[in-house]
Amino acid sequence: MMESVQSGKTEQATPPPKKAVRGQVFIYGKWCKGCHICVTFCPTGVLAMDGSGEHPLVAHPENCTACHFCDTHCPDLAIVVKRLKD
Amino acid sequence: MSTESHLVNEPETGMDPLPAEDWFESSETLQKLRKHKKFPTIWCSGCGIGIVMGALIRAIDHLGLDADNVALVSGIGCTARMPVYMDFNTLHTTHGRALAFATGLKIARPNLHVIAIMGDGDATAIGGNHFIHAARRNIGITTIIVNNNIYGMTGGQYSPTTPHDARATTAPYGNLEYPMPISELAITAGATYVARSTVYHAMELDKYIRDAIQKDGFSLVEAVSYCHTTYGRLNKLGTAADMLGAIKENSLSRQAFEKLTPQEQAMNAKVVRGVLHNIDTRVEFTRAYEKLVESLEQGVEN
Amino acid sequence: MAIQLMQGNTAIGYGAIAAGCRFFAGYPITPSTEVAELMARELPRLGGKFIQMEDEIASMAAVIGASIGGLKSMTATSGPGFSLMQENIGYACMTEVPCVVVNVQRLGPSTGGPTSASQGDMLQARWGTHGDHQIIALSPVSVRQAFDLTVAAFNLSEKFRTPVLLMADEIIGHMREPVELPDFARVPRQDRIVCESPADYIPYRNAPGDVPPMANFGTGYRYHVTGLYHDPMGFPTSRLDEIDPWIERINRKFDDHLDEIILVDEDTMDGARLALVSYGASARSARHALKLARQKGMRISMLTLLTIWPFAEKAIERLAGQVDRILVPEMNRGQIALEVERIAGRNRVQRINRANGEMVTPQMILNAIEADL
Repeated sequence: MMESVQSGKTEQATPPPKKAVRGQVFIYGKWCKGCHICVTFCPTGVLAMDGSGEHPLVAHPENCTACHFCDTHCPDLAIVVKRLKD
Repeated sequence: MSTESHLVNEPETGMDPLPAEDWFESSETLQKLRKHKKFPTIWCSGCGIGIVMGALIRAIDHLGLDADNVALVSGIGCTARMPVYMDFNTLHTTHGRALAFATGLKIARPNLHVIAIMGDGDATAIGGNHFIHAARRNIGITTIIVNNNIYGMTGGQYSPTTPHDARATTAPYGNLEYPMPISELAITAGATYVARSTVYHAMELDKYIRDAIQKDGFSLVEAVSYCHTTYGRLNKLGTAADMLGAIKENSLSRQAFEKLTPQEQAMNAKVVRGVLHNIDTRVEFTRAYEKLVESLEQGVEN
Repeated sequence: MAIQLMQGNTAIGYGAIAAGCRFFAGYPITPSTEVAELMARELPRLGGKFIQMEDEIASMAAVIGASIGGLKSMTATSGPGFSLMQENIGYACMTEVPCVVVNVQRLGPSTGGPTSASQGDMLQARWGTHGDHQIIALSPVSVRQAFDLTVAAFNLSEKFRTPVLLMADEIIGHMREPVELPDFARVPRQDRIVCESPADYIPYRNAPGDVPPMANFGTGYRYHVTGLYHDPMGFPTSRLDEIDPWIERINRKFDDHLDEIILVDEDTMDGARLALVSYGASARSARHALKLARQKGMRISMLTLLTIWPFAEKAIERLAGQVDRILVPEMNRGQIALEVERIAGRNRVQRINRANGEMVTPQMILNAIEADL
């Protein structure tokens, strides 16, 4: 497994504005192969790698805007994002 | 913190490992997968092929297609391993021949949505002849070609789409050949719908696949991807995430391309994304054959 | 049907139609092209489908695809096309998809003599595709038999879920004989039946009789077909405990049913010390030589092989127990003779060969008989 996450698009974890769309992230570790794509590309820093560096955690669920980048780009279909009602 | 299977919406959860059956239930699209097939998938960690599979099942779900009326046909290669994971009529055939098998299946059952899934080597090298004739015939097969510019399954040999000068295991001194433009070839051969996007632009892929399935003729979606374990390693292009980011940087929309000057267009080395071709001037092959059968029946009655 | 003068290739086409064939994909090649032309004309009139594919590889692929879609399917070719079809024939063996492949053999190797005859592809029929496999191959001796064996080919392919090769030759394919074909509606047809519900369907299970029922795509049975070794569900496997039982079943499928597959025509004579073993066009010469020899008072037996593969080992053993010598006329340099030699003993078998495009003549066979006795 890679030791550090390479990312050309590192952004600060910014909490979204108050009335924006919110989402809930579900991750299935059994299918996840630890490729880091979701963590690298999440625009609001919802996800981070866990201590072992093998699987992502939902580190900042409050930041999720349900943009669906992670669940449409997870090659293992190990992420589902559900849009939350306000 | 458990790294076993877990359903999390908080860090530090102590939930028990979730059985796969429950994960399939967590979304409509995941229910398109084969529940009795072993997951995770066979592909390398980070491979773009899984992204295309996601786009395909989302497209099928969005269209509300009956699973019994969907058939997936593939040849040989990493991309060709896709159909087995999905709960449709799935046919994994010989190298390069997916379109020929698909042609027989489509003619036998014209009401099936027949989707051929191939890699760049499978479709344009050994399968090149069947590719151009399926397009020429305008047979109603939706074709998805995952183009990662290499033969991945066999360890990284150069393919008809490997860039000039790039390294591969059978081009150890750099590729002397030039790549084949897949989408452009399909247009010239007679395809009636051709679109291209990338695995970075996954939602765009969904849309093009939907449109391609609904198109009543030979339709192609070229999905540009990457192989970080072979091509990427040999050409020092980094991780899967690196290559995914590079794909975004290395592409532009058709609208943006058309705004370039002719000189800039001629020099363009980036992947042009968009619907490249969409015509209605040819009758789809199985419909034309049905008309023939009807006319002969009427002839017999008269 | 009325008696009519009919070409062998025409009889093959009608045999297919009578057996229920409703899909043909092929590529033009002498001397088989007439089969494709007949199917192009007749199939759409019956609601069937015809397509000329871009090459023989694609033709074989389309035939398999259509069969999986539920249509009885056929292609017709000759030597060079037969060589191209081998990979996909093996695919049909591995995936147990019924289909019929007609090879109207011509003189080879390579481009050879497109309008000359041969029986040069007989071993290729058995072993042309790579890997250990079994296959059924039939060879007609007359125009009427071209019809009958094509029907048999379809029925055997469905019954045993296997490709069946109809190994005709340019003589049978292009000759004309008066024939009276049966009413097509009365020709017995072997059809596919699946009794289990889709939820219970296991596409490659160890069924009684070793032939799992075949469901067609698009009928509610969604399953996976692959040329990789697969488990009973059809999913790829590399486990020995799944590969070994599959290999055993696939061989039992043929080995335990040879009496249903092997068709021979035995014309034995008491006291005969010599026998002819032949097939296809060569059997016509052999039968004529037999007639002439018997008219001269010689006691000769003859065995005509209608099924070439699996090989009629028991029939040859029986024959070898009755006579001292066996003569094998063929239009090649000794292919089926190898099988006869293997069973009867090399020193008891004499080959009568011609591999230049011309028939082995009755006189050649008669000379060999007389030299022997």
